[in-house]
Formats: sequence, structure tokens, C-alpha cells
Amino acid sequence: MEQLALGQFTQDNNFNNKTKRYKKKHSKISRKKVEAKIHSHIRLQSAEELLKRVDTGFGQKTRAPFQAIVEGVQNSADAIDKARETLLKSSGIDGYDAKIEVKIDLIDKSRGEILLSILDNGIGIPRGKIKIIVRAGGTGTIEYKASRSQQGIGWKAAAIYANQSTGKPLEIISKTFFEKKPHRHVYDYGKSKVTKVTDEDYDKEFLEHGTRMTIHLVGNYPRAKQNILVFIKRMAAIHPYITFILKENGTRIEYNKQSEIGIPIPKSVPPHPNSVDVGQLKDLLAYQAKKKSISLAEFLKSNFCKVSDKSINDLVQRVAILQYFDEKKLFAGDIVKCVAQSQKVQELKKDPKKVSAYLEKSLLRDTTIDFDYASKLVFNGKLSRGRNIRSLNNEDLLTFFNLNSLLKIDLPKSAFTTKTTVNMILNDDNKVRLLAEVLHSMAFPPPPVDSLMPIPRDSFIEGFTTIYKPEKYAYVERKPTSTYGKAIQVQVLALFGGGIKTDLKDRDKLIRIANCTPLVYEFGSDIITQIAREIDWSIYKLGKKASLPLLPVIFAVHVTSPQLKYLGVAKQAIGADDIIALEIKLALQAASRKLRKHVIMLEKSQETGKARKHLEKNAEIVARTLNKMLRVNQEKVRTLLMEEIHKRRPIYTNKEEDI
Amino acid sequence: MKNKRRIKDTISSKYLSKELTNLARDMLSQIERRKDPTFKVPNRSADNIVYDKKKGVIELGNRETKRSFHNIATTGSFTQMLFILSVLKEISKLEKHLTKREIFYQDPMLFKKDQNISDNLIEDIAVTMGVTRPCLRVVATAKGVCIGELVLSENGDTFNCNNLGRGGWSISPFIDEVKIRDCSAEYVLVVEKDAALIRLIEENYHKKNRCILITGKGQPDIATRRLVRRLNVEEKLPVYILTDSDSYGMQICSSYKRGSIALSFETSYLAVPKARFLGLLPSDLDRFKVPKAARIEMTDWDLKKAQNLLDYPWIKNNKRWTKELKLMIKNKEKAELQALAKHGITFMTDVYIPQKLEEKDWI
Repeated sequence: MEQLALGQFTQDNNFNNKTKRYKKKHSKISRKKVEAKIHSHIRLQSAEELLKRVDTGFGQKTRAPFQAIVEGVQNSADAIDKARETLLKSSGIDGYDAKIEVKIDLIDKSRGEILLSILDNGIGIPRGKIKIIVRAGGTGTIEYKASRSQQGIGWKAAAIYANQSTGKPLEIISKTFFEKKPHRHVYDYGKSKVTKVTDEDYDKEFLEHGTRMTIHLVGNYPRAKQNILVFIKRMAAIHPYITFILKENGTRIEYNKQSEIGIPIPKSVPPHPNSVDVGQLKDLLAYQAKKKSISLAEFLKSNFCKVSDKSINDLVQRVAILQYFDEKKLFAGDIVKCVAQSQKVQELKKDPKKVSAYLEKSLLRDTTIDFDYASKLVFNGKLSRGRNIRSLNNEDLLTFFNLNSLLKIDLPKSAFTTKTTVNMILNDDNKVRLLAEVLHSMAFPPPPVDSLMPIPRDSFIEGFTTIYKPEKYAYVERKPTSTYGKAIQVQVLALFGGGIKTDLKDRDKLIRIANCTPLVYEFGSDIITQIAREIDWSIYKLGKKASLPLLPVIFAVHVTSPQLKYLGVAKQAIGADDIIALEIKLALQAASRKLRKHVIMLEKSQETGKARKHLEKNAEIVARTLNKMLRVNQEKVRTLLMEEIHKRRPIYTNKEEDI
Repeated sequence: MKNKRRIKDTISSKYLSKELTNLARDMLSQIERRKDPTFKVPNRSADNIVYDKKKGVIELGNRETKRSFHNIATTGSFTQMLFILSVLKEISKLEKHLTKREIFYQDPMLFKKDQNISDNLIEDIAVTMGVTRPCLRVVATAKGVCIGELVLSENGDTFNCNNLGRGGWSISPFIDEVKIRDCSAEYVLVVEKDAALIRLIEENYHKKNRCILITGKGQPDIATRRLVRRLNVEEKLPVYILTDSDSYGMQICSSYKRGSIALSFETSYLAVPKARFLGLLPSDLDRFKVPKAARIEMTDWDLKKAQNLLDYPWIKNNKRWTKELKLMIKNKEKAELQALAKHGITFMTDVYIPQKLEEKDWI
């Protein structure tokens, strides 16, 4: 204690001395300048600088080369899909010889400097757009469609990291369908802002269309190698319509194109009303206001999907109800959720009287709602588990909270009419908040599914069976559904036996795919892994509880959704979401059920095999004994018995690979 | 349920050979017709036993077990059974006998190194063919001893069971080939154990009382039971049985009188329904004042066994026997024949047996 106090004292003393000296030294400089100097750390930071500080997966030297390749290859696959789309639209040709080539050269072994270049014959980048591509920062528009790379931040992060670690700039060579000559660009992220070094025509030979990006980065390649190989292998399995070539230090791994079936190109759809938050809503309103201030009805119909005239009328009434709840400080959403989530209520479900009594006496003792009506809603399933205020229409909501009949409470006047203009809303923060709230608390038809990019069944099967060579496979596709207004779809392909070994590591038993991109890192935190570990595999004869399957089986799980929520900027794990979790679980279970049949059949034929062996052994003795007793032809008796054994105990074989 | 099964107790080796061949031929024809070759074996288990009130013996019921080749559970026993048939056919041709152990050693691996398996199958074959096991020319070692005024001849030798020393005659396993030449005894006394026999011999009981003493040394074997039956049937000698006063003793008495469950198909050829159960009866313990010190408390197993005996139809129908059993269960006491020696070692021969015979106090 004493020592500490002493230390503090010295420090204080020191500080005072310093201030005195500073004042003495700078006494002649104006006060304004001093102040500016003191607060010089407050300045406008560029997005590039910001990216340097965020964890984008480049923090570890073992991971950096992997992350750079993931970002680059994703962009290339997107570019190839765009090229396919363009070709289809312009000339009706579906598919071409698409190719992605990743080249890795270890330049300086001691420092771990790697030259990484990724080449694709995709759509290419127009000369004028290069500077947007290299500049960090979001594009500012909300695009609702599934895509491999979402914000386009990844590759920039890679380039920035590369530039920082080696001091060498990013090189881009590109050519589009319409450009006559390829062009070469060099950008340097060395200073606080990205600076253009070169912008010139590229005279050497290049592709008809496509892009090549080259960076120099420092990383532990030997340790990253394994994951890179896994990533490219899985990428090739997902995209059998693209040839993947990996050239590393002279060796070459090639996954040839297997199929013409490409992944359907997702369509961009307007946002679903359930999916926007206050910030996004404000942006949309502002954007609209800049063009033209239109009415609320028109605004909702033109900026969102699945909004009808009826739902706009409901919305206006609903706003009034929400305002009433606000005034009374009633947490309506929580009350509804409380009923829907109660286990006891679900148990009593079949007896509305008991439900009503239970709600009144214990669960919602201090609130006044229509208990009989609530139990009726429970009975007809409108308030089953997982439901919330969105499941109740205005009529239900009014009756539920006793606002309809008996008490005849006057609802406050709705803050909106259908004619309220965008400007009026934008000028009142409370209105913006109310609008966001009401959009969230109402049910709209599910979002359109053409914003998804499911892997076509045949392509999924062909890609994986060619590369993993299983004996059997089972494919399951869930119907598209939605969570918070975003469409989602889950596909599962289970690969069984054959080239699949039993001693796989956990991370190899589960191939996680998000929007057609395989995920390699952050295995344990991914929702797919968590769900798979919750499944009791013993039911399906594949393994046991609380672990991944023990039999030789690989599950490839694909989750596609626009604006899929990841656990980090590195996008290596899908975040938790109830609906996504349920869909994954159901798909995995359905695939496992199919596998179970096969496993049972295998067990049966194993048993039959054993029985046959036993019978055959005995048949020999029987034939020998009868020969001894009756002098009959031993071989004839043996053959007769053998034929009968085989006829009575057929070994069931399923030649179909699809089970 | 009427029992129609008829058991032959003597057959020629030629007939045996023919019957065995017929059984094998039947299997062959089933194989050729692509059927599942099946042996139908009468069920020898305890729940397929019928008590014949008229004859007073237990006999086999009508239930059958199927041993078929294509049923994986019975494939093994089918093959084993067929194999034994072939062995039996061979010995019948040579007109020789084989012991059960010799049959087992024809192929121990086939019988999974367990002689019980082949032993059971031999009984099964006998019952399937409707003959006694000795007819199959399979003999079991005999352990019984017989002593008394009885002249027998076997394989060319003639001898008197009284002139063979104090060891008596070891009953021959080929009992059916033994001929009774002369018998001047008045009754047969069967004792449970060697110890009691030695006492009787030492007191010269058989000579003094002109009787034949026989012991099966515990649960009697077939040859011993067959000898007792032959003396009862052929020489019309009454048979008295002397056992310990416990449930095991009653069980042994029951197998002399009615036949055992395991060999129920042969009872008409082995049992002596008219045999008299002389003692030691539970009521004798008090009557002859057997001191408490010589009585032993019954174990749980004893009590359970006694309770089971009460359910046997021939005991259920016998009032005296039921009474004695109930008394035993009530007192929870058992005693060996040797307990009588508390009154002096000759008490049994001098007092107990003569008094019982005189008073006709038996079951």
C-alpha cells in the first residue's frame, strides 16, 4: 500500500513537471494551435483504414493466404455466373467453358512472402468501374438476393492486408465482352487512402473476357495449404460447371468441368417488409424523398415486395393499436409471446377451459385480456409454439386485448393514413419508428424465392459424387421458407460408403455451404455443426448422441438466403436463427431417414451372409452323411441344398446409387 | 389327450438298420423335392408329460418339435441328428454296441465339444423311431449294485449274485441281454444310497431275510431301473423302496415308481408302478423317535422341490403321500436313513424295516 502511494506521488510530480516544461516551451504559440495539436487524433478516417482494424480473417498468418483465396475465388465464381447470365440473355447460350485458376508461388521462404494470383474467364470489370471495386466501403443500396460475396469487402480486405504485409501493390488485369483491349491497373493501399499507380492498356495476351487479380502477401502457406486444398475441392464439388485449377509451386491440381447445369442466377427482389430495420427504412425513405415525395401506400408498394392494398389498410389500423399499446405502456408483443412459449399452455392446449383458467390465475395474473379468446387462439393453433404477435391479425389482436366489444375503448387516431407522404414521415422520427415497428409486427405473404441460389439437384449430386465417390447418396431439399422476411432454403446431400472413410475428422464429416461457398474455418461455432451435434444419430443407426455420425457418411449442407447472417466479416460460420436451425435439422433428419433404410439393409444382408455361411457348412456335412448312408451322389445333394439355401436367403442388393 | 405313442423295447439289428435308412431316405426325398428337410421329434420337455392314471406312470404327450435344415436355429441339430443316424447305422450293421461317449467322439467339433448335445440327440432319435435307447445299441454306463439270491447269465457266464463277495454284482449296461436263470428271493429292497446298502450287507440282511438288495447310488440309471422292473414283472417280486426323508429321496422313489421326465417315453419299459415306498417317511421321524439332533433343517431349495412334488399328479392323487409331504413342509425337517443309527447301528435292520413290513406301513 505504502509503496503504491509513493509511486503515485512520484508520477503526479513528474506529470506536473512535464506540464510546466510544455507550457514554457510553447508559451509563444497561439492557444488555438495548441488545442488543435492536442485534439489531432480526432480526424476523418477512411474506410480503408477502418478495414485494417476490423478482424476480417487476416489476423493469423496461417489463415491469411486461405482467406485471400476464399475471397478471390468467390468473386471469380460470381463473375462467371454473371458472364453466363449475359451470354444467355444476349445469345441464348447456356453455359460455356468456365475456368478459375489459382496460382500460388512462395517467393521468399524465410519471410513467408507469397505471390497469389486468381484468374477467371468471367464477366470482367469495365475500365471505369475498377476504382469503385478497389475502394473500400459498402455500395449503399440494399440488394435482396443471395450471392457468394455480400458486401464485397472481403477481397478489398485481402488486398489491404497484402499491401500492408509486403508493401507491394494490388494488380488487376481485366477485359469485358465489349472492351477491345484488356487493361491493367495497379493500386496501392500504403497510405491512408487507396492510390492509383497505373492505369494502362495491357498489350500481352489475355482472355476474351475475365479478370486476373494479383497480390503479394505474407502468410504461413505450408500450414494454410491443407485448408486451401479442402476449400478448392469443395468449391469444385459445388460448381461442377466450372473447371478449377490450383497451381502451387509447380504442382498442379485440376478439377475438370463435369456438367453444364449452372447454379440458377438469383433475381434481386425488393426487401420484404418484415426484414427492414429503422436505419434501412430511413435510408429508403430518404432515397425516395430525393426523387419524389409519394404517398405511404405507393412507397410501400414500390419499395417492398408482397405489400397489397389490403395489407396497407390493415397497417393503418394496426398503427393505431400499437399507439394505444404505447400510451398504456402495454408490452403486447411480450404478452402474446409469453402465451405462445409457455410449455404448460401447450400441454393443456386441448382443453380451452383449463388454458383459460391457467392464464387468468397464474401466467397472466396482472393483465386484463380476454382469457377465453386467448385459449381459443391456442386451441386453433394460432398461438402454437414459436408464434408471436405477427400471427394475429388486427381483429384477433383487438379481441385478445379486450379492445373490441365490451369496453368499447376508443383507439387513438392512427398516425398514418394511406395518403401520408414520405416527406411527412421522414420529418417525424417517431413516425419512422412506428412504421418500422408496424412492418415488423404484421404478417405479410412470404418473400419470393427467386432471390435464392439453390444448387440444382443433379448438379449437386454430380459434383459431389464425382469428387467424393460415395457408394450411395441421399438428397433432400427443403421447400423455401422465410425468416424475418428473408427467404431461405436448405439442401442436404448425404454421401455414404465407398470412397468415404470411417475415420474422418468431425470437420470433414460435415461440409458446410453458405450461398454456394464452402465454409472451412470456425467449424464449432457454426449453426450447422451445432444442429448436427444435437441430433441423436443412434435413431438413424448412424452413430450415437451428442457427436457427429460414426459411420462412413458425409453430410453436405447448403443454406441459401439473401443477406445471410454470418458470425464475422470473414464469413466462415452461419449465425444462429431459429427458422434456419429448424430447416437444417429437418433436412438432416430426412436425409438420415433415407440412410437408415440403407444401413438396415446392409445389416440384414450381413446377417443373411452369416446365415448362408452356416447353412453352407452344414450342407456339406449333410451331403457327405447321406452319401455314406444311402450311397447317393454327394455333389448332387450338395448342389440341391446350396441352390435352395441361395433361393431361400437372397442377399438384397440395391444397385441404385440414389437412396 | 390320449397317448398313442407305442414304444418297442426289443428290435433286431436288421430292423434297426432298415428304420435308420428309411429316416435318411425320407430326408433325401425332401431335399430332392426342394422342400425343407425336417425331423419331427416328439417333445421331451416337462410340459409335454402326461400322467396315465390307469397304468400309473408318466408318459410322453403328442407335441412335436421340428428340426429343419433351412431354419437357422435348428440347422445345427438337424445336421447333428443326421450324423448320429449314420453312426448308428454303422454299428447296427456290425451288431456292436456303442457308449454315448463313443458317439460323441465320432466328431466332437460337430457337437460343439459338448457331450450333452449328442446325448440328447440320441434320446431324440430313440423317441422319434419309437424304440428305447438300448434298442439303438447305445449303452450308458451303469453304476447300480445288486446282491441277493439271484442266478443270472450273461454272454456265456452264469453266476449267483450272492456269491460275488460283499461288493455284490455291478449291474451290466447290457441288461436286456442278461437272462434270469433262478430266483429264490421273496422280495426286492431298493435303497437310495451305498451307505445304507453297506449297512444292510454287513448285517447279512439279504441272507437272513431272503431278499435282493439293489441300489442305484442316487438317481438310478436305466439299467438299474430296468433290472428292478424285470424282477417285478418277470419274477413277480414285490419291490420296497427305502430312501432318505427329504424331497430328493421322494424324487428318487418317484422315478422308480413312475419314471423320470427326461426319459418319460421309456417309462412303460422302466417304471414299477406297484413299488412300495417304505420309508423313511416324515411321520416315521416322530414315530421312531429320531432325536432332534439327527434331523436337519430343510433349505430353500428343498422346500421348493417339495412344493413342486405336491403338483405331480400321482402324488396329488395319493392321500398318504400328500399328507407326508405336507408334514415335511410344515416341520421343515429332513433326515437321512443313517439318523436311525442314533438308536444303535442295527436299529434299522433289527427294528425299523421288520416293523414297517409287518405293519404294512408303506405308500
